[in-house]
Amino acid sequence: MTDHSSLIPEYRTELEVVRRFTRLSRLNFSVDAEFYPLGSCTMKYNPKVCDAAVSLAGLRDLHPSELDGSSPQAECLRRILSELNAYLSLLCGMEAFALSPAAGAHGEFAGCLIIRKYHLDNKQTDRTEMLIPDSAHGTNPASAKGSGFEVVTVRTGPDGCVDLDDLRSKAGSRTAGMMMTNPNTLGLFERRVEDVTSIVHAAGGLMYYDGANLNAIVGLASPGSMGFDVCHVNLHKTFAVPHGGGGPGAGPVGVTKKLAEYLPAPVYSRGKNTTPSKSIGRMMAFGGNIGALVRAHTYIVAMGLAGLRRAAKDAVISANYIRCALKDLYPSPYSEMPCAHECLLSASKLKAERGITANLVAKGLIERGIHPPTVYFPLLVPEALLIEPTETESLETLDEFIRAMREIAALDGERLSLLPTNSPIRKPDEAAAARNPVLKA
Amino acid sequence: MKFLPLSARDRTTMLASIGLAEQELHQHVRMDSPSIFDARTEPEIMADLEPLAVPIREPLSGFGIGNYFIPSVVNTIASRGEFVTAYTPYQPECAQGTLTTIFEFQSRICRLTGMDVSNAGLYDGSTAVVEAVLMAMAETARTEVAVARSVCPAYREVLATHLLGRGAKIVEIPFDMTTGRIQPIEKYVNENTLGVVIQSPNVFGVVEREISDAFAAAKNSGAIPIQIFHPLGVTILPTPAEVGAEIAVAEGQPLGIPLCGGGPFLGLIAASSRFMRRLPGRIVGHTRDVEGRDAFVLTLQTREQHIRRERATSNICTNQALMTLRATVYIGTMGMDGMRAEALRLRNKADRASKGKRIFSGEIFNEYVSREKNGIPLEYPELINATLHAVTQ
Repeated sequence: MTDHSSLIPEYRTELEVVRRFTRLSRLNFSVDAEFYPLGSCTMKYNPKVCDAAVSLAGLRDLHPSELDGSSPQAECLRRILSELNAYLSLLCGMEAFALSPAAGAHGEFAGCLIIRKYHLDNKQTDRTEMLIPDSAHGTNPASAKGSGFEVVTVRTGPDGCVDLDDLRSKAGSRTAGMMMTNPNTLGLFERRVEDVTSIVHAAGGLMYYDGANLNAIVGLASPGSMGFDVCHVNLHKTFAVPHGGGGPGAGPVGVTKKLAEYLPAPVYSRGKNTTPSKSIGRMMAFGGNIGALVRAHTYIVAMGLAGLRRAAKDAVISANYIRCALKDLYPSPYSEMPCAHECLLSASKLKAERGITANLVAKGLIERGIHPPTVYFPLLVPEALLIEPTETESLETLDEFIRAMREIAALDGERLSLLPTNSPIRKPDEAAAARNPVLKA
Repeated sequence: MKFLPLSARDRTTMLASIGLAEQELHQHVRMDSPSIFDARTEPEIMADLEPLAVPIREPLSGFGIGNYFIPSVVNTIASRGEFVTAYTPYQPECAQGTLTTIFEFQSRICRLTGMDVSNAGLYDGSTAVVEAVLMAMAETARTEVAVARSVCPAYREVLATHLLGRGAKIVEIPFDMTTGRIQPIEKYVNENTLGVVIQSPNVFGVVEREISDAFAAAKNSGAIPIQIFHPLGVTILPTPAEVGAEIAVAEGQPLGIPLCGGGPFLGLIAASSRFMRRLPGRIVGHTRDVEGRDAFVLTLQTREQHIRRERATSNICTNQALMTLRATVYIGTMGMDGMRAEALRLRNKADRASKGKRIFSGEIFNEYVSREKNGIPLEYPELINATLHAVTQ
């Protein structure tokens, strides 16, 4: 066996640690240093006042067993959590939120368990099917399956929205609910969302709103008013919790009145911790990713309702501006329609003409100091490029991105395949990594 | 402070080039009008949080978390924007910082536990137990999991919630009221048992000295031995590998992560090599780039939900990467020797502090149960007035 021990250092001094990790940090692209239009991830600027809020000494050393006590720190934190519950409920049109799920997928899972328990309590034991559009994120089917449902896939129609005829043929007495992202992963508002919710409700199912794309509508429209019964919100997307290289985020789960007693414990409301009477149980040993919750609260109050609305509108304008500036070179089946906060383009035309794939576009952007968009997702569109600029980027940055994308389109595939030339590594052999896994030193 | 850069003029220019009015971009959205709340300035926000700025005089510790020593260097590194504001390292050319850190983390966790493989981390200790049980369930295709009653009650609640839709049953292994250790497990394990979950040191702080025998019995019946360990305690106690665990999980908070009211924390998971393709979440592997340089990439992604969808064993997507960074810097700074010295110091101090007060006779690490009033109340009806105490500093 090969000795891989040289792949990690043994440190002799603190300086060696500092130098190693400071240097490593410089090998990352980040929102603080680069434009990062990673579709579906909402890489917006993370206000630094939120860092200050979570660094406070009385929060840093607070043990969760003290959270329900009478110390000023505990009382303040319970008030913040209760206010966050109220803000999220207001913005999403829900009765209440449980804040403990640690991530979006964790919130989805909690939501699915709520739907399951609601039907079981109502003796609807045959409702074992969860309807999920074929455009959904992979977490949706994984969460539904993990909470005991069979997944029934609903087709997307030619306009990029749920095919209502297909939905009608699949909704019925076995339907527990439907999970839906709106705007959907193609970056489009589901224009017939109220028909979708009516069909599912008429069949006796509940509607689940995946909040991954809430940034397009926050403060403008709410999942509750569209007819959703359960929803989760990704605080690390819409509410500016930094992504941390892959977490921690938070995925609070919210419900309408008839489901309020099913929420996971604890629920913070009016400064108090309560356990709902029919609760599905606990999602985390302690209260969840409290630091992320405090950050999101700070962001919401820093923005105010008018600020959140403006942010949603600017996110939508920015995505459409990019769409219109690039749709001639990167057309997709949906690029002629107005998009929401992200636009779905494709490198298919360039691939056919000159061998430029989505992956090569990504590498060309890295060469230009721009983080690539999400590539090869959604799966419905070949050579997909899902671009989400967010509301915190200036017009100059958007123009620079557009210029870079147009320059890349003028190159040929062979030339692009040599890029990036200026990155710390070039073309790592990913196939070899998977074939012969070396997972530790 | 201003967070939105577009001016009214910018918007006009952009809408003109789009060729639509702003309302037309939202024509399919039915507008709401929720009650208004105003924006607050930074001084107003910080004034509102003032009670949280007051230091806690005597911070509580217990349940495997506490105000453990955090070297300053951890806070310095973990506040670098290049780490804080990056995302999941999908593009290896511009994410070697995060990828290299995760690889170092996986290596350290394997060394700490003696296990073969680890991952980039999970949400917390309790959900790490859930993932371990799901791995064992997938491996054995069985339906019962035996869990020691001396496992932290909140962990057992979290496990029960996550198993609601999985059709699995939890069987409880009782503990000995004198020693605080698990009773022999043979009665609780049969041909349906998918795994045996034992925490050592357990929720009472007591080291499970018979854990090897219990795990041997588990293996005899084809169940997967799963240990919940303590990431500092493990440096002075037999490792999960030594006691025969096939999956080892822990709460990583003692590794340089502040309490922060209950999270974010870090779930640790490591396993024997046969579970490599059943591990949940992100895994980083070593490879070489086109010029032969060392490089790190996300690997074995066919396990994950974005590829397998409903056939994935776990739905996990984001993890707690910033906490993984904290743990990696902590372990690097302390070194194995430093962690061992810290663990010994805590054990000695806990031994002295608990003398004559402990209600269990079993040997402890850094937590203990007594009937003193100032600790954390324990939710065990059979232990009247019992409180949990921990030595962390």
